[in-house]
Amino acid sequence: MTDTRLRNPGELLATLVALAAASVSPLIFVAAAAGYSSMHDLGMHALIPALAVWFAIAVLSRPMGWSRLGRGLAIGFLAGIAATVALEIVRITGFRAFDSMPGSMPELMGVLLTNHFMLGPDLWSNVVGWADHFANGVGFATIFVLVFGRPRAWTAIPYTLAIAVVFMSSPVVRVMGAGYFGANYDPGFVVTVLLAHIAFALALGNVVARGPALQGPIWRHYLVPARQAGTGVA
Amino acid sequence: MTRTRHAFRHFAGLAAGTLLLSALALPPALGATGATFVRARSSHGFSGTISALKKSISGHGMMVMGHVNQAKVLSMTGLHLKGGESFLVGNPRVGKKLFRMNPAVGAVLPLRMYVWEHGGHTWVGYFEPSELLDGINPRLAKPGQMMDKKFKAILTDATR
Repeated sequence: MTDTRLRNPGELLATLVALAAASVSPLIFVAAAAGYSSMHDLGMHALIPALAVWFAIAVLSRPMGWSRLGRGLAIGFLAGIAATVALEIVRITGFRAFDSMPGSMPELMGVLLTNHFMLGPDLWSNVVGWADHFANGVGFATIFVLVFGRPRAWTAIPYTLAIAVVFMSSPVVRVMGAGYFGANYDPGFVVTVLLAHIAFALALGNVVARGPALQGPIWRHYLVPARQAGTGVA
Repeated sequence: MTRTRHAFRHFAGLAAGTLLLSALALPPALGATGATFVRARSSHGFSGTISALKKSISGHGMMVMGHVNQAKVLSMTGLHLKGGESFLVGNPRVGKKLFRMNPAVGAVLPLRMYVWEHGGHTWVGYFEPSELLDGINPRLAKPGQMMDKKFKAILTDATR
């Protein structure tokens, strides 16, 4: 058994906090759908503080010398935007052309976050909903980059397919009336969700693979054999 | 062959007659809840009717306690209705009195008025308050009848 030591524990701690902050946006919709709280309350008391922490870590990473974390957050942001655009092309096509989704997720998140459901979507709720939808995408991309570093592009596919499977078995699809894996809706639902997540993976994997190299996955970067810990060699 | 055709005609005539009698025997606007659905066609357009209804509600001493824009909500599912909005209508004084009589009235109050567009016309409708309240407790039917008059007046003014 190799003796290991922690390298750069401050950056590792900030990375773990950034991972927790990035996971809040995807989690609140599931928590609200499961009945733990309203989306509006979770947005106010969990999402906004998480976004503030996320932003603060990104700003602090340069003066603190957290190079892996700073680059990971920047690549995660760019990859998340690109991947969400790719996902949306498939999702909107499925929803508009084939009626394969029970509703527009960004609009739904917007009216729930702004506590505006009864009045339907408007400009403000749509801005909030789309911003949250992109924050989800950036969150998943950031988690991918911070955990796995810069793996081969195809590795994003099993990662996003796992997200799709968790989504289709989450309370979100039940409260939307689609049922688990779209059982109460349409076979096109599963097809749209899987294709949209594959499109997300292709964009994510390609942007990350073309980004500046991150020094390996999180466990290899911060956990080093004791003999290397003092030398700064990864 | 002729006998068969004659028998078929006789059966078809009987069936049609039975259906017609059944239809005539049913109250025309009795919903599944057992309450009568009162509706009127508005002489205004959709937004004009909404505005007239709000004024009429206020003019008859009631207030809009809630608003649901069903057409907009449904637009998120891809269904685009020309218009469909509900207003929860009540009055704190009447509400207090009825809730004191029976707290279960919350299942019905505040009452709901619905404005929708269909066939190029705007309609306003609601379920008869007395019948909804009677469903909770027959003692509530009497104050419900006062609400019937109030709602009828609101409807008439809003759609005129």
